[in-house]
Amino acid sequence: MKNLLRIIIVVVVLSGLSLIVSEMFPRYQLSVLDSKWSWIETQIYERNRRPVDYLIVGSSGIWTALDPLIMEQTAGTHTRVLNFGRNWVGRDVDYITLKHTLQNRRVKNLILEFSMEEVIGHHSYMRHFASIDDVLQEIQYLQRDSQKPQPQSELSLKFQWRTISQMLGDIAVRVPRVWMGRAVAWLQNRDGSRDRVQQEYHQARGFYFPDIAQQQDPAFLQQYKRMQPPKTLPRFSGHGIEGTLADFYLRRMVALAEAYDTKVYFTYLPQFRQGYPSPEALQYFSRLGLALIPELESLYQIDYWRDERHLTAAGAQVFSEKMLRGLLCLYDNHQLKTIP
Amino acid sequence: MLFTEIIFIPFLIGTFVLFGCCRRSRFLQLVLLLIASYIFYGWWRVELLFLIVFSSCLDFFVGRAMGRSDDPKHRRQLLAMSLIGNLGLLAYFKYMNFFLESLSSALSGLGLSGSLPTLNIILPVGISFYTFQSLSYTIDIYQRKIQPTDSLLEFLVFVASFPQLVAGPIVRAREFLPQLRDNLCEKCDESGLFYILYGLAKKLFVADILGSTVVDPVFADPASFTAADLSLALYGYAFQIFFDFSAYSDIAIGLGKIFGLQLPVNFRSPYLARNPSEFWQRWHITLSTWFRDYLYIPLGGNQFGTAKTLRNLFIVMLLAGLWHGANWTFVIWGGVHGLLLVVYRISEGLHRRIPGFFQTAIFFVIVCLTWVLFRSANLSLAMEYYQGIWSGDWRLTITNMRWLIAIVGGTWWLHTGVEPRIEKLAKGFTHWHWSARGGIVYVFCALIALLSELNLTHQAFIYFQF
Repeated sequence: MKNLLRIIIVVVVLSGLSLIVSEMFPRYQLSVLDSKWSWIETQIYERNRRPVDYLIVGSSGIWTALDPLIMEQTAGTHTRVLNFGRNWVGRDVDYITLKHTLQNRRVKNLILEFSMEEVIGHHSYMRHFASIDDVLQEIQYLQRDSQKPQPQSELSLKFQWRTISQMLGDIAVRVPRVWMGRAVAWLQNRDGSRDRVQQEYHQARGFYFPDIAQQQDPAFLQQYKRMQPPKTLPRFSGHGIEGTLADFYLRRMVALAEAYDTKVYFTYLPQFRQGYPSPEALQYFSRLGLALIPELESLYQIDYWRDERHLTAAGAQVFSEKMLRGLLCLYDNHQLKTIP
Repeated sequence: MLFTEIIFIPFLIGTFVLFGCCRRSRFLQLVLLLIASYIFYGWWRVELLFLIVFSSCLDFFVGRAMGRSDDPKHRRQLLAMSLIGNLGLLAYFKYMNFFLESLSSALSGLGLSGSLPTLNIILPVGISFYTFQSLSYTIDIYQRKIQPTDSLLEFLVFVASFPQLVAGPIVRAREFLPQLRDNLCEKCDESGLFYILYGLAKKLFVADILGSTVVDPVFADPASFTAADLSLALYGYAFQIFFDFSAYSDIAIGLGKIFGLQLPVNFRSPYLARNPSEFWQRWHITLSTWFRDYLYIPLGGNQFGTAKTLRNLFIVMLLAGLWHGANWTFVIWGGVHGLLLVVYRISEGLHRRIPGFFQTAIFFVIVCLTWVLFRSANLSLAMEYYQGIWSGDWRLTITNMRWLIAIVGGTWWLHTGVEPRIEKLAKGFTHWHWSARGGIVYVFCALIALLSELNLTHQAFIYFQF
C-alpha cells in the first residue's frame, strides 16, 4: 500500500511539472500531428512576431476561398495576410484560437465567416490551445452537446467537474504526449513529406490544402455541369445563428478583438448556388462588424468550385480579389459599398 | 464512468488515497468503497442508482428473512419474491421493447393489426451483472449453501463494488462477503497495478485499434468487401471482443487487488479450447459457472439421462444468449452454441480421435463463425456476411500482407503467449522500484491522451451494453 501511495505521488508530481512546463513554454502546447493545426500553432507561438494585417479564421470554406498571397499582392507588398481556416470544428475553438493569437501577435484586421446556420463539429485536435486559464475560466468551452449556451450557474456541478478534470488531466500529461507526438511525426516524416507540407503552408500563408482534392469532385461536376448559372438568387429568411452557442462565441470574439484594437469583418461564402443572407442576419452581423457580401451570381460558375462547399484556385482568386478590393459589397438595402 | 476515461484517473487516485487514510477502520473502508462505487455508477445517470439500491435491499432483507425461516413454503415464497424482483427489473429494462417488437412482428405475420408501442426505456449499465450477482446470494441461502449476512453495508458493497460492477466478473457472495470481514488495507496487493495497466493496454492498443481499423468498417457494410476482408474482420472481431472483455476483467481484478479484494479469473485463453464444453470453461467463466450452478443443475443437469441432459444444455445456452442482449441475433447465437454442445456430447468419442491441434483449429473457426451472429446488428446483415464469406473472392483489400501478419501473429501471441503468464508478470512488476512504476503509470496516462487525440479511443467496452 505504501508503494502504491508513493506511485500516486510520482504521478501527481509529474503531472504538476507538466502543467507548469506547458504553461511556461508555449511550444508544449503544440499538437504536432495535424499539419494545419501545427502550422497555425507555430504562427502563434514560434515564428517572428511581425504584426498581421489580415487574419482569416474559420472553416475549410474560407480556407479555400481566401488566398492570402493574392490579397497581399492586391493590397501591397508590405501587407501580411494569414489564413487560419481549417476543417470546421466550431466557433468555440475559433474563439480559443483567436484568444491565443491575439495574446501573442498583433492583428490589425480580423476576417470571420458569415453563415446562416452553424453546427458544432468534432476534431481530434480541437482541445489544442486550452491552457489552465482556459480550463478554469472558459467552462463553456467544449460544451458541445448543446447548441445553445447555458450560463455557468446553470451548468450542473457534474458537468463542470467533468470538463475541468478532463481538460486539466489532458494538460497534465501534455509534455510526454507532445514528445510522443513528435516521435510519431518524425516516423511519418521519414520521407520528408511532413516537412514539405509545413513548408507549403508557410509559403502559402496557410492557403495550401493537401487534404482537400485538388481536382473538382466528379460527383459535383456530374450534378451541375449542365446547369446554367442562376440570374437571380433568393435570400434566406430568419435569424440565422442568433441565440446559439455560435452566437455566444462570436460575440466574445468580437469583444476580444475590440479589446486588442482589431477591426472585425465578416465575409459570406454560402454553399454552391445558395442565396443571399436574410435581412435579419445581415443586421445581426452588421452589428458585430462590417459585413462584406460578394456578388454571388458571378461566383457561381462551375469552374470556380471544387465541390458544393469549397472553391477552386480560380474561384479563390476571384473571391479574394472581390473581398479585398471590396468592389461589390451588397448590404441589406442593396447599396454598394467598398471596404475602407 | 469508463475505466479508459481520463476522469477515472483522479477518481481512482482520490479513492485510493482516502482508502489509505482509512487503514485502521474496516467500517470506514467499506463506507468509502460504497460511496465511491455509487459515484462511479451514478456518474452516468444518478437516478439509476435507485435500481441498484432497490435490488440490493430487496435481496438483503429477503436473505435475512429466509435465514430466519425453516418453513420450506415460506422460504420458497421469499425466493420467488427475490426472483420476481430482480428478473422483473431485468425484463422491464432490458427486454420489454424486445418482447413488444417481437410480439408486434408476430401479430403482423399472422395478418393481425399488431402495431404495439415501444417504450422509451434506458438500459441501466451493468444491470445483467449486478442482478445475477445479487440473485446468487438469495439462491445460495435458499439452498443453504451460505448463511445470510447481518451487515447491510457489506451486502451493499458486495453488489455495488465499482471494480466489477458494470461488466463483471460475476462474483459469488460466498467468496466475496468473507473478504469484507477483514481489514482490506492489509490485503492490498500491489500487483493489481500491473493488471490495470495490462488491461488498459489491451483495451486501448489492441481491442479499440482492431475495432476501428479492421472490424467496424467491414461489419457496417459487409456487401462491399471480399471474402478475405470478411474473414480477416471476423478474426479481428474474435480477438477484439476477447481483448476488450478480458481487459475489463483484468482491470477489475487489478482494482480489486489494490483495494484488498480477490476477484475470480474470467478468461483462460479461450481460443485454445478444443471443444464447446472446454470453451465455456475458458470464456466468461463466472457467467458459465453461474448458469451451471443456478440453471443447469436445478434443471436436472446430467442426472436424468442423455435426452434431458441435452435439453438442459440447449436451454441454458439459449438463455445465456438472451442474457447477452435483447435481440434475436443473440438468441440464435446462444442456440447455435447450445447445438454445438449437444453435437459434441453426442459425438464425444469420435471427437477424441481427432488430433488436439486440429480440434483447436476447427473449433476456433466454428467459434469465429458464430461471432458473426453476435456482432451483426440484425439477422439479414449476418446472412449477408455469411454469403460474403462463401463468395470465394480472396483478394485482401482492407489491409496489406504485412499488417495481416502483424494482426494475426500479434493477437495470437498475446492470447496464447502472454495471457497465461499475467500472474507471473504482475508479480515481477511489483519488484520494480516504485519510482519506475510511477513513471510508467504517468507515461501510460500520456499515451491514453495521445490515442484520444488520434481518435483511436473512446470506444465503450463491448460488454457494457449487456
